Amino acid sequence: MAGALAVAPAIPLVPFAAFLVALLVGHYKPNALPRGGALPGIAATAISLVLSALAFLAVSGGAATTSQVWTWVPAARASFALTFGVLVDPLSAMMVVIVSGVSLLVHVFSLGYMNDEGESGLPRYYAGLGLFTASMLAFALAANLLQAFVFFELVGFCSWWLIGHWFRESGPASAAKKAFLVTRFGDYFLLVGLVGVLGTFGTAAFAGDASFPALAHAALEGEATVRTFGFTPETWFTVLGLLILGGVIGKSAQFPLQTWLPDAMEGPTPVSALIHAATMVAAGVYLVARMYGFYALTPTVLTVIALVGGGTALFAATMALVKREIKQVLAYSTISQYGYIMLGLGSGGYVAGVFHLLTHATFKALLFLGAGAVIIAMHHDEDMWKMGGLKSRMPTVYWAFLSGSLALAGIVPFAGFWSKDAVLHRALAVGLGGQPLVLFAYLMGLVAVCFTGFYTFRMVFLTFHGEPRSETAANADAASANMRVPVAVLGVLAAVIGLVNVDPLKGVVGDHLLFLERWLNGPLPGLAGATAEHYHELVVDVAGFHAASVSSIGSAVLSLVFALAGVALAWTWYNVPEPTEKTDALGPTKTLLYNNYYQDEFQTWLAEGVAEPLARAVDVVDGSVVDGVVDGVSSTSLVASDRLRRVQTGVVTTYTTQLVFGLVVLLVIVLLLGGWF
Amino acid sequence: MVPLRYYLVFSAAMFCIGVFGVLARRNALVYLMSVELMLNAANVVFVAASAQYGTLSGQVFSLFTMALAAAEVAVGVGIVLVVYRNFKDVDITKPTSMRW
Amino acid sequence: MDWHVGLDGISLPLVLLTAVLTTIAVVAAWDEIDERRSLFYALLLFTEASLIGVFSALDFFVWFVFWEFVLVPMYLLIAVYGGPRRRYAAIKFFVYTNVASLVLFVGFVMLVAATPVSTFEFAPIAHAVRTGAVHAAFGLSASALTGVAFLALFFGFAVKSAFVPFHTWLPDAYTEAPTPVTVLLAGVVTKMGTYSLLRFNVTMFPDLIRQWALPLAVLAALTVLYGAFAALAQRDAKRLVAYTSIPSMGFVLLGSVAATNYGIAGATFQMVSHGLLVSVLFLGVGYVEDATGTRMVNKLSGLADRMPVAAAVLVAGAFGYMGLPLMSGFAGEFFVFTGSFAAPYAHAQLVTAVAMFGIVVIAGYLLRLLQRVLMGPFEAPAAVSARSRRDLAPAVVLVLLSIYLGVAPGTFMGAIQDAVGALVTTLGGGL
Repeated sequence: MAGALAVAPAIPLVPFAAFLVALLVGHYKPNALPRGGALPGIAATAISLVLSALAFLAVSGGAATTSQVWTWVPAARASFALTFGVLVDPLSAMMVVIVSGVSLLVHVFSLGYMNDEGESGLPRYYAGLGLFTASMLAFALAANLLQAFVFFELVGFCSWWLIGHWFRESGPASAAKKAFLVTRFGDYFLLVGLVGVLGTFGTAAFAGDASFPALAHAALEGEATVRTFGFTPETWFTVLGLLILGGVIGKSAQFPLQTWLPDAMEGPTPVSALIHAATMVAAGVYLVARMYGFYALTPTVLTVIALVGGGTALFAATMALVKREIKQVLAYSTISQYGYIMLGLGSGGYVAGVFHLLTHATFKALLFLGAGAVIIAMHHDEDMWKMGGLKSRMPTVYWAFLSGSLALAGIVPFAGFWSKDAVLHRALAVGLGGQPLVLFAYLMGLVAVCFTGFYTFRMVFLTFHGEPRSETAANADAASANMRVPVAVLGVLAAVIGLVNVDPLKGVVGDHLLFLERWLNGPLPGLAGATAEHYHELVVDVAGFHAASVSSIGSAVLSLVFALAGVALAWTWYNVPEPTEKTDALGPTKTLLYNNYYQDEFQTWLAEGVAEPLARAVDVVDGSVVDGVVDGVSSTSLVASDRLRRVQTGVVTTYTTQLVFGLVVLLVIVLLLGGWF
Repeated sequence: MVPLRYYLVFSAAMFCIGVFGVLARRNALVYLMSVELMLNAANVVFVAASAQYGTLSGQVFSLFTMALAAAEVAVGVGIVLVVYRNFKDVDITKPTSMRW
Repeated sequence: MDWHVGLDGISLPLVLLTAVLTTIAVVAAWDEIDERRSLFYALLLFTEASLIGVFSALDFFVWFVFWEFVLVPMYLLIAVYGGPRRRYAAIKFFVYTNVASLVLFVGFVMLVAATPVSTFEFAPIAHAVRTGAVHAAFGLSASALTGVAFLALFFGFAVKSAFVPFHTWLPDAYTEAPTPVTVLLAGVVTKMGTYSLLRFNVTMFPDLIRQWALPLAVLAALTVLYGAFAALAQRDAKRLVAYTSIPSMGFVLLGSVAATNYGIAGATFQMVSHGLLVSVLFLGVGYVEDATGTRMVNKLSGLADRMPVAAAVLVAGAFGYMGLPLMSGFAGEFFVFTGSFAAPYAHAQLVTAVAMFGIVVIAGYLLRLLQRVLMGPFEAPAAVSARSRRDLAPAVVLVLLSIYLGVAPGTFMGAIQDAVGALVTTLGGGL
């Protein structure tokens, strides 16, 4: 099976080829491109999926490798080279399967969403999807932080490209800019962290004995020396960890950089499903998991991750309560769910975080694709208050959507239940084990469970139940097959994928049923530093996160009760033939929530109220002061010469007089100096 | 023998008359003549010093100066003629076009 | 005073850049310049020759003669073929940079006069200055004389490279010059300053560059942020692109003073990369101006609808400029940041991090430019049609070159590091 790993570099290269085909053929011979570029894309992602599955099988056979593929910059006279490579281990193998799988389904779905609707610019659309898939796969396989950053930025570019697909309208154009800019702000910190890592360790490799997590560990143990620029290793690693976290927060839309994600819903819905739910947004938290060997060394950063995660989970869930558009609810729920993943990772639950990453990618892609089918049926009207009663019109979509919603709300036995409760259990155990801040983060996450149940089923009931509240809803067409199939596939997965790690039943069923945990634990003969077991040791020994003994079933029951409470409330309020907006009772709070706590206004103010005036001030200073000095020098000399030249009268006698006068003055000076007087 | 000092005073006086002429007179010919006076004031000093110290170099210099003066007059009168042709006058304050 | 020329890893990329960009400028001038064409091309080629002379000279006099030569055709190219304020821009450019050349000339000749060296060749002078063979002269002590020469040289190069606050000739000259000339001006002429900074200040005065590293790095950070914010305020697309050059030159300065392998090599790489990408941006803005007759951002909207390939080129240039990985801009900036972060002077990390914030501001105004001009509902003062292939070819070639350098920066970095390695050893920078 090792041969499967040797072809791992081809996993991202195949979609890249599809990108080139869509771009070049689409430009020169658009008619020669089958279905606007969809078929090359589908073929490429299918090949990638097969290769990813082969790599996955190889890894489950114990093979794991990190290898160098391309020397970006040779070391030559410098002290280190910069390289690109592939790192195939359980985490990345799982991620490439998710990415290529979701990408394949999204390509198929796009046939219905884009092609059948007669959209223009299809080659551009499929080229963007191809480049995105390639970049995301290369990111997932990245062997070092530099490569991760490179593809992190490229997926951001693809996100700009695809959000702005309908560039002739002003909304998508503005949303694309905002998405890139806000994530860029986070990436700035990541870039500082990256050059910091290179300056500190001289390598950015993720795994292996000479990787930076390994070196950091050795430095903390006093077994290796690294440049820490005048700080203690603990402090400096914390600083580096926080800097890199900046990029994570931007990309995974965590507080306070989450504002771009709801706006990004301006893009086509398949794009939202692929990029802004299942994969690109996951890049942030994936990066945390990828370099977990480093984060596990710094308890402060872990606590910050947990707090950001728990806070975002709650914060975003409150905003989702009152939204009118179906995609907005999903966007805020995405932010909230990535908060849970952060909470899991931050409380030392590597397996729990990765598990939720897996399940969330499945059910959130499902929900977005389902919403996409609804939006097509509604002729691009996303207002849930104009829907209703779609259950009978599009039953396949409804049942799949329901499966995804149950998963999102965390109802047993759907996917989200297992993974979210694994996260919450871990956070609770560590919180009670002597980390009060993590416990606080857990409480926020627990409250958010209730909100999640409410907003999820508010969405389901408003969309599918009751009576149609508009002409369009009453006459909605059933979804076409190329939309139904991906939704159905994901619907089944969302129901069952949680069973790969029935964490809450740990004590009951025995460890051999915790497939994911065993999978992540290894053992990996080649890469002992990249196993969940190793991370766990670090979290306990270095970061000092001890887990108190908490009944996993008890924790699960507690959060299930919270989730059911939320669902029940939604049921009573909205599962009626003619629901009314009960959240109006919140009064001014609702306005606050509906306007997202005025964070967008705040960020707009930062751009328009701070950066713009500053820029204008710089411009004014530039024109008047800095250039004023330059022009001043020249105008001074011009004025002075204008005055002085008047001495030149043109009358010979004047010149002679000046000559004589000058001579006399010189004579007097010479005589005075000579002491004649 | 007349002391050198007298020659110097004489030469200075002659030079000053020349300077006065250059500064005050407007007629180009008188202007040129004043220049001649200044040159010859210098010649007087050369010759007097030559006699005083018994060397010939001063007298040689005065011959050079005369030659120079002759050349200068030739050019000068030429200029005066051109000025007259252009301005119908030999008033040297008239031609002022060679300025800013 | 000998005809002494040569190439190494620092100058070779710049000579190549000059040759490429002159070719690009000739093609770009094909339609744009329609009167006094022979004079135009003669001046363009004269500029190229002088630029190559500057980059290859190994003797101060040869170098200085070419350095001054560049001004003459550049002045004429701006003053004859430029926009409405061309006279002002040309004279400002000429006088400003010429004053700076005078200062650096006097400073350097004073220094050479105070060494026992009887030639103007770089190597013996560098050796003499490094080994402390300078004696007191002109009423100045040896160290003061060296310091004066160092600062005089830096001033000369700072004006040419348009470091803040010596940058004000740049927006006017770039904006008024016709596009092909702007390509050369922005792409290569400013690099004369940063290249010479490496050749003189960094190579000849290792002690002083170490001593002055922090203030110069602070100046670099100031240049980056000031230039970026000034660009943010511009409403004229060409002026915006002109201002956007300033932060890039700040990055070059930041890398140059870092005294590390990645820093100095990165500065060299960034020079080449900036030359390519800023030319793409100027060509792209040229397409817009050509098609619509205006450059004012608020009068334009949705041009991507009518000129898709030109829009794609502008997008590629802008994202390359913002530092999109796998294009040369990212490589150059990344090397500079890596080198500068680990530089041996105090507070290098903080200064580097502050300067790096420029990438966010740069992304901000370039994205806004793309959004306003290319996206949204179509709106322009004139009917717009797609650009011809010949029009687009230069920019497409540059984008492809930039991508090549971004994917395989090793092509140049090997050679650059060979040249830089010895220098860094002298400076004691490492990395």
